Amino acid sequence: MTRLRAAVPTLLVAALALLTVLPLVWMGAVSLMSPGSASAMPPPFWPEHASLVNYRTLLLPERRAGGADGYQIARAALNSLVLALLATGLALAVTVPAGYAFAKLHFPGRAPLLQALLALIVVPAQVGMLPLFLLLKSVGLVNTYAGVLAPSLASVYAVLFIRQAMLGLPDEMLDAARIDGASEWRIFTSIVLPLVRPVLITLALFIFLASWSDFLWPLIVLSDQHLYTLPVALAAMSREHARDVELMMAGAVVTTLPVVLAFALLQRFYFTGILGGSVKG
Amino acid sequence: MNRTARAGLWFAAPVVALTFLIVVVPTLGAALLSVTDFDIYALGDVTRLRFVGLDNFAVLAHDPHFWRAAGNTLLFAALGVPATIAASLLAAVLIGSATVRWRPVWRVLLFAPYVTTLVATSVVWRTLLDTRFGPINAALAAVGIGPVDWLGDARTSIPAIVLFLVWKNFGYNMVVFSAALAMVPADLRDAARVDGAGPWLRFRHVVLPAIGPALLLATVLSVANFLQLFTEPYIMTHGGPAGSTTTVLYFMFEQGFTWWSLGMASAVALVLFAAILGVTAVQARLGRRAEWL
Amino acid sequence: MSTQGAVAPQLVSAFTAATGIAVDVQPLPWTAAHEKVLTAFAGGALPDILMVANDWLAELAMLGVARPVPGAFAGALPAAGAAVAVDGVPRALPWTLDTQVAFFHRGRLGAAGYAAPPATWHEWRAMGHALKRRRPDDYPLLLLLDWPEVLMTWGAQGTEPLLRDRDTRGNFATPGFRAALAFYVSLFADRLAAPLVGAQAGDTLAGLAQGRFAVLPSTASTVGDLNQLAGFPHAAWSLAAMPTPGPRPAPVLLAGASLVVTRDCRDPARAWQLVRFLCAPAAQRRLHALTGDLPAASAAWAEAPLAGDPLAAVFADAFTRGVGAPAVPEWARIVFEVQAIAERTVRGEFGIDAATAAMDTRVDAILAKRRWLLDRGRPA
Repeated sequence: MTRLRAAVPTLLVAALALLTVLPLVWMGAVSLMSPGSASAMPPPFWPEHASLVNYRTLLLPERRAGGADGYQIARAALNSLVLALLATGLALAVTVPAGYAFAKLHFPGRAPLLQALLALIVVPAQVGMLPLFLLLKSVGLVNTYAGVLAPSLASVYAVLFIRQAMLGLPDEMLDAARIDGASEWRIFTSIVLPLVRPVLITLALFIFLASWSDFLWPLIVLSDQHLYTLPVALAAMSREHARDVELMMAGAVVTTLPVVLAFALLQRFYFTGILGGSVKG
Repeated sequence: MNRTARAGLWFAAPVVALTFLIVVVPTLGAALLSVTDFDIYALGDVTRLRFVGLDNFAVLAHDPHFWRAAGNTLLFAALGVPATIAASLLAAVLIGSATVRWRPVWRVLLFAPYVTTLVATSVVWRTLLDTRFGPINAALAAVGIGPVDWLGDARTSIPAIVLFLVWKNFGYNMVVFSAALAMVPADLRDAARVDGAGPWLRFRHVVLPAIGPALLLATVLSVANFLQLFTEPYIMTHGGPAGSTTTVLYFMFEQGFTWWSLGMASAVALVLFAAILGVTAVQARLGRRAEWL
Repeated sequence: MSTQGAVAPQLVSAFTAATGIAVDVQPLPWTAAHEKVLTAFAGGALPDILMVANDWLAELAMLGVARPVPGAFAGALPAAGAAVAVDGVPRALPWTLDTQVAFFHRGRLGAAGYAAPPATWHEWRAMGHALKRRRPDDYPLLLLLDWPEVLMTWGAQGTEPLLRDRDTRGNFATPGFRAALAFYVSLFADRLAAPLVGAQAGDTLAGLAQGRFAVLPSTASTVGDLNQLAGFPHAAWSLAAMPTPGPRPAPVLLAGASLVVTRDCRDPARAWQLVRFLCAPAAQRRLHALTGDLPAASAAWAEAPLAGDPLAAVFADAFTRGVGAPAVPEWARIVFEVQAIAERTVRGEFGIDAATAAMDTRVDAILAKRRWLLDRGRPA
């Protein structure tokens, strides 16, 4: 094969990759343009004078009439972060022990419960959303952090994922620890968890990303603006400020940059996580 | 009951209880609501509620808006699933090519759209597809194609959103297919090449059967995802123009949270649930026949 | 209904300065405001005070969202007072009063030989054609297919009400509404208006300023928006009343906003204090200065700048013939669905008669529960 023919696949992939990220690059470029300059004919691809004015407008509280600070994007970013961290912590706390139990601890009813969980996978999340809203309303949890977090705690996927990962742990090691007199909790925390740390990181990453990008449920549950998460705040802003393209792009950057960064830093875990459960070989 | 069993129950209990409360009870609640006429009046005073049996479902069966939403959803799936799977497969084949260099770099770039927040990229693409100032139309104009009213013309609104969705989602299956392709037995491929089979035949008879299970799973998940489209019409087109991008879930959201016809919305939710279940079952049956499951 | 939320902090800061009571204001995008209010009600998360569209008052009264108004508000314009009453009982304090008028670009109309848009439908269409002849590639009128106000305004100009039978059935197959729909659809058919929806229209004010279209039906707050638009001087535009079917004066469909103190409010006394402050003539004049919204308090009209303002006079004249929308809880939904059918008529899916029949069928279905409740003798 000639050198040129060998280079063709690389060139093709490179072209495809650059085409793929083009919209994201454009998003960043427009966010740095001065207000109004993107609505020109023909539309510019690069800012004439790059500036952070849109980010200032977006994030700094300023009591101007008609200002975009009304949407409190900075506050929403904080909400998103806190909620994502809480969701991750709480979801891990309930699903990891359960995954371990389904994998390694024989308890009465384990098999039928597992079947039931598997059956629940096919239930789309939206079916129960309206009744769940009414249920939360009856206990006063609408428009609260707890209300937003509720669905993340019932993650059947997470339980099954952890179970799958722990099936391969050697029973002999666990039995030996039991014989030595260690309690089940001790075994779980001192022996099992350290062994599956990469899996935990992967699951934590998935839960964090899912919580950050969650839209429909927070949209339904939150009415107080100062509790809004970023996607909800951005969507509200997009209905009102549709013409302020540069501002909207800055909002989009703020919303999506953290998850892209988290992915870039932890991509090894992310890819392992995807492949962990889905390839039948 | 011994110590291990007790521990097992304690470990599993929280998530099982939460799942019961948060998934099972509301799903049963949806079934219950769907046979009532719970609406804005009942929201104010629950005594203004009537049990209506299967009336909601009957009304849905005759409601042209619902059928339009169902048709739109199926059209989304019919266009989007093959497009996404094909794009993912193509990308996986390309990136799996033996002579590709800097593969991790391209993989991250190709995967990036998948991790982005859907709301944010919906906003970006809505601007990209803008008829007057969008770069896509500008690029088309440069090659002499007149401006296309992507999101404003009922004929192009669904394809435009499908284009966005393919861009957003192809990375996930690309990774899955890459791994599956890597496991295709090399000796089989070589044997086929030695036998004189061209690339297409090799693909059809050696590669495709080997990645069959992955393909099937990806298709099932993809169909289920497309049947649940909501955010894109909500952000980009508000279900329009002329209701052309209203999906079943968007229709349900409107019934439930714009008009508070919770009885009707729950009926829609159950119909959607049944559809997803049905489609999944059919695909599983097909997969078993092809011995891919 | 566009920027009150953004300027509200300025209005309440005067209140806080005077009384020391701190106020937290949350603006909502108008397109989502109705659903947000209902969601807040459903979730038990209502704020203390709400600005609501008058059209929603029947629904909010049925739900019991608002506290009863303590003492009538004597200083309101008669039309405003009527607009906040449901079943004869005032449900809110009127804040602004509004209706559709036609904003126009003086230059483009002048070039076609018009000093102002004419008064009847027939002449309006002729004006549209004259404008189109001069600029065949542009659409002279901006009528967005998801703005129901224009069709409803013309529909309300007939002699028949929009709902019949104790407001439990649609009345859209009447000659009056049929004519309104036919006129509306003809404007698109004659290519005088482009079949666009809101998201595609882009910056409508910039479009008017640049002369991309010549006539823009809108509400009073557009006056404020245009005043703040750089590069479009006051002399370059004006507004006129919407056209009517014939020379006889026709009813004018009113809109507007009012303020309610909600049932969940834990300090109603201070809340009413703020509401009365905002409805007082001084605050109302300030609101007008900031946004162009027209006050419901009649005292605010007696002095400058409103007293001598020719634009405000157009509104004032329209208010004298004002009628409110039918006071049924389902009205917002009815308007939405009727407009959806009108949009599909414009796009060729229905003929006019089929469309009005479809509207009646749809509205009858929407009002089915109301019929059942009335037959059962339920309270409002």
